Amino acid sequence: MHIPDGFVAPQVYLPAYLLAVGFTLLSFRKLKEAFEEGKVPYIASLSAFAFIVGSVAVPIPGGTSVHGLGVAPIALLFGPWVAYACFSIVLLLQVILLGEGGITTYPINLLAIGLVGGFSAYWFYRIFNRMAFAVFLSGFLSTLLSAIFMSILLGVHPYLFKDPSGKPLYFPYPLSLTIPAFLLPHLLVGFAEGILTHIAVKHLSKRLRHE
Amino acid sequence: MNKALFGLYLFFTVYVSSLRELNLLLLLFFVLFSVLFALKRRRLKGFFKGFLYTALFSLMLSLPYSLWSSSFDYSIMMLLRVLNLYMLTLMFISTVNLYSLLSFSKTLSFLLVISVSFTLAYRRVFENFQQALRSRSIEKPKRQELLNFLRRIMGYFFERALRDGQEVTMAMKSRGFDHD
Repeated sequence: MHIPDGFVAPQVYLPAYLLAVGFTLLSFRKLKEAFEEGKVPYIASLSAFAFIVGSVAVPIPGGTSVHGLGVAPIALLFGPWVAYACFSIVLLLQVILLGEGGITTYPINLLAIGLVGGFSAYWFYRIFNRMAFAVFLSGFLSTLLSAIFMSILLGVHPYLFKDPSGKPLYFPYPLSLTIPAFLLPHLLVGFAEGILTHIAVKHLSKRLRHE
Repeated sequence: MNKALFGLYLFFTVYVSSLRELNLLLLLFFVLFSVLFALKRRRLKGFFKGFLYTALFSLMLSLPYSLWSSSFDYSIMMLLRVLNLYMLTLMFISTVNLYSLLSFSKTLSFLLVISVSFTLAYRRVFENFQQALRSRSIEKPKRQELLNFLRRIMGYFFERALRDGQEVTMAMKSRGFDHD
């Protein structure tokens, strides 16, 4: 999912920063309602948990394994605002500590994974609540929606930003190529995210009720 | 000082990411490369690995387009822009103390410090768990065994996250930190 610096135009990432920072402030305020006290330690520890959830390789049929994003389990267990707050920290740490993604693409990754991924997982679960595979579906579909969001943001670049001779200045591939190129591999990632979400939510929601 | 450097970094990031002239990008590449080399070696830990990874990733994205359109200027422009941004960010991270940069907000700097320490600790434990599974398995673990492993480590980290959050909250309260 991560895209490197340099492929996104400032006209896209600067407004994205405004949106992402605004949502981050709002999510921290919402977190105060979720945890009556100890907001900071809980964001920190849940961010570390989200970091680990996103690092685990999920075995999928065919003998291979794929890394999930980890946002859907957090969104279903603690709510989409908590997931967004945690991922604002997780993605920042990935940029600073691991060099994954970039400083200009940070808000885009955050909006795609934290906002679209977290909220869609939550709402898909509410829509399919009565189905047997509601949890799996919410993880699977939210990943696909994040990928579609990201591919549209990147895929509009060649139409909007080109030099007088028509050559692209940033991301070069049009929507007709970007959407399938993002969606196909994310079918596997989504499947892994679905399994991860199913295991995490079924196993951990009982523990959370006891807390 | 840190805030001034951060302002400069933001300005140059926007400037470099909007550059399209090859000559300017190339000149900037040599300037940034020279400055990075002038910095102490210990500050550039992992520089070349990251440099190579960034260059390869950039080429992986831009080369197919260049091959298709027979325009290699695009790949060179993207490669130089991506590497310049990488070096700029590395220079910023190695020079500026991020914690003191965020010191204008006690809560924000505390959040960053505690998140980094939790994440590093959890990552180390997670790697230990993975090595433990590998060293204790004679054959390659089956899918069901891997799923069981996954369930257990998630349970462990979940409980640890909630407990750590609770413990640090109490520790903060006992030390009079009420800006939460």
